[in-house]
Amino acid sequence: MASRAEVLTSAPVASVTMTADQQQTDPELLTQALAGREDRFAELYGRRQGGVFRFALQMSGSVAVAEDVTQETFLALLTHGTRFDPARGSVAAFLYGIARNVVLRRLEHERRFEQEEDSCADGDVLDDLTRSQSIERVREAVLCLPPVYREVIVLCDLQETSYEEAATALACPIGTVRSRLNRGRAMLAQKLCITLSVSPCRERQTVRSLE
Amino acid sequence: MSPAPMSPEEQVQAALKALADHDRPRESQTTAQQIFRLRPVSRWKTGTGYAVLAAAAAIVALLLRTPAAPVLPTPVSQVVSQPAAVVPEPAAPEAAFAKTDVVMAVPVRRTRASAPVRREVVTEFFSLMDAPPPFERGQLLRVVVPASTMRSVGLPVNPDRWSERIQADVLVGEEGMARAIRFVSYQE
Repeated sequence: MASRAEVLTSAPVASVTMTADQQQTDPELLTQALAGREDRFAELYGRRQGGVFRFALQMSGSVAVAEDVTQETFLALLTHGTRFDPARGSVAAFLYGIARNVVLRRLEHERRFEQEEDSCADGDVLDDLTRSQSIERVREAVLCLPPVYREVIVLCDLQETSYEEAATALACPIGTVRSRLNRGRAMLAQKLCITLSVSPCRERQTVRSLE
Repeated sequence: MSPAPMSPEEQVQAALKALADHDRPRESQTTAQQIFRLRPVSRWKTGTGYAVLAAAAAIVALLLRTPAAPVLPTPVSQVVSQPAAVVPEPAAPEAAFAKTDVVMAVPVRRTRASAPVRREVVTEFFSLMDAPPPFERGQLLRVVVPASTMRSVGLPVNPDRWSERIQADVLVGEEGMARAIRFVSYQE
């Protein structure tokens, strides 16, 4: 009994003052949003839109595309949210799965109708070196990865989702996520080394500057 | 003393971490309100609205008729308590009439009792809502609608007969929304 009292008194104030609304889980918020509660949707959106937006941004490299994808993803959530099954994964993974489909569709569309500008070709190494922002060089290296490797890098390394969530979002086994992640990282290392290998000293300096 | 050189894996991790940190504050500029208002509920609402309007218009038209005219039992309300009411009924041979081009010259006026008995034939129910909430109770309203209403649920109708009036049963849920419709015909 004493230990129970201790636990209660040592509980952080924030958890004591937390309202019932703040404690609602994503599936609960989704259920209420689907029933027409705009405030619940707004709360769920506030929690998850950043991740979806960044996922789309890092997959596409375009803020405009990321905005569209975010909007389409949450609209799809409102339309097909009843298909969400908590037993199969989290709401976040469900959202990433939708966003992934939307992004891939957009990328395919743009690849078909736009002129291909292969800025990722090895010949652009010198151009890359002239760029001032190292971050953008890393972003471009990520964007150069084939989509199947890019999506695992973005989800696991950039969005820091678990392998399980990534597997749910990508609709593939965890082992596939791991292997694609390893392969993707190796390809990324190769691309960054290509970019940086002109001057080993500069390579080290660039990486240090990123830290 | 210079720091230990980083392995390629560490370099990649450091680069990715820097990119993740850089992007972390970035968020969508679209608000939840904007998206919520775009949600596609308008389509079935519109369809429901049309159905309710058509039903109301038909009822008004019936009420304005001369007293001598036989009036349909409007509304013939039956309490429906089973969701299964929306499920298509067992396929009677006559139920296929909706699939044919006999898009129904349904006589609205009924004959006298001495006339030969006519058998009522109904189609299956057609949902008027894309994602209806669970059905608990409701009413079945017999209404008269233009034949063009059949087009709205995907049935073929001869354009010459769009303005003809046909009978239909509208399943209205307890919340007041028209959930499904079926069309009625008669056979001698």
